[in-house]
Amino acid sequence: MIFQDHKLLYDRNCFENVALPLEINNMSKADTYRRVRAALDKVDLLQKEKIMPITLSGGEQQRLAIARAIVSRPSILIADEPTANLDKEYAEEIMNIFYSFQQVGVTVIISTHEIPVTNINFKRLQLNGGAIQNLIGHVQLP
Amino acid sequence: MMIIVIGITLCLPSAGLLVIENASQISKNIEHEAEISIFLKKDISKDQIDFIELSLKKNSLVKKIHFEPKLIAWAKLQSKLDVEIGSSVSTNPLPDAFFISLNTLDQIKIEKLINKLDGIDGIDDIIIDGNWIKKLRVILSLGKLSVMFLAILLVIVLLVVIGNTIRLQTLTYKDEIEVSKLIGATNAFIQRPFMYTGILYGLGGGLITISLLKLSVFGLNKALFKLVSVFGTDITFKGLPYEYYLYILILAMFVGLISSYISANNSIRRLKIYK
Repeated sequence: MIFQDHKLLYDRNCFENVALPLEINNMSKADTYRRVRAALDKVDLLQKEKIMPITLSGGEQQRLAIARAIVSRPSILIADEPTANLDKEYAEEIMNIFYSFQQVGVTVIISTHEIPVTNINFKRLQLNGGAIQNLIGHVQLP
Repeated sequence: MMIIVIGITLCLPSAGLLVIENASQISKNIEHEAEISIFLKKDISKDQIDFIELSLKKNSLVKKIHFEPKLIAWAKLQSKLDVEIGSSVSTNPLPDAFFISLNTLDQIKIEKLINKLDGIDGIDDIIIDGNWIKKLRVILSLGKLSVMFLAILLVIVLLVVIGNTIRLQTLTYKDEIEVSKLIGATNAFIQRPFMYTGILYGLGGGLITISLLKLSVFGLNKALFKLVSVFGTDITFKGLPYEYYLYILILAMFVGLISSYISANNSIRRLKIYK
């Protein structure tokens, strides 16, 4: 799950942040190492492995949060307003990352108040008071 | 910081135990000989005195017999009191007495002997000089009870204090706990490091208690050595036997574990996850 305010731990470096879910599941060190590096590579933060998250930009922090969410190879990814506080180019980056996950078979559910501007095909569900109001499938936006 | 608090708190009942153990040791050392004082009736005849002496000599339990005639006892008392009582008190109030020491410490045998002596005509009063030892023992067992009570009270204090410290620690790590919970960590997983901390506090505190006790024994012995060399006796203050140190350590670690478990469990469950 990806939160709107990242919920990163600022007293650890990027590697340790991403490794947290694997640590909780008692994964071996070797496996953890491999998976964390793969996840960081996926979001293009591999070279920033050892630095503290506070020094990252907003987009990079969000990407770090995404890396943490995917490191345990989930089949469903839920993102809560992932592009809310980001400017256009970062938002585009994030959406492309989500699209790449969808390509490998991960179901990505994004909750947002602002429809992201992107070329990707996605299903749109409109919610009102917790109930699904509209289901608009495969909308291609300009 | 916590370690010092735990160390000194546990020192109090341990020191009490130390004192009691040493006092018990001394009482054990003193009880080497049982002595009985037999006071005879005032109007006893010489034949009866001889008869009593003979029966005492025949008894296998009796090791030493010392007969003190009333005149000598009276003279001794007067010289002790250092006054001429003879002017105001006309007759000798003291009786003849046998002071015997036994070669057994068996209570049952001593009881039998006393019952037998009681039956002999001419014996007025029998006093077992071991009575004060019994009183000392009673006082010591009372002391042990109060030390135990004190220990229970202090353990409760420690539980509260350590629990509070652990609670504050969980508040310090609030963010981490929150994130861990959101990612799916169980409460038990999150609690574990806090419990380790609690056990370590207990261990450190226990070690401090032990070192403080050893230091005080060492210091007291040094002071005692100077004191008893004046009196010419050979008493040393002994430390607690080694199992007791282990018990103290285990108790301290147990207290740390229990209080940190309860406190961490409580805090972590209560920690609300705000979006």
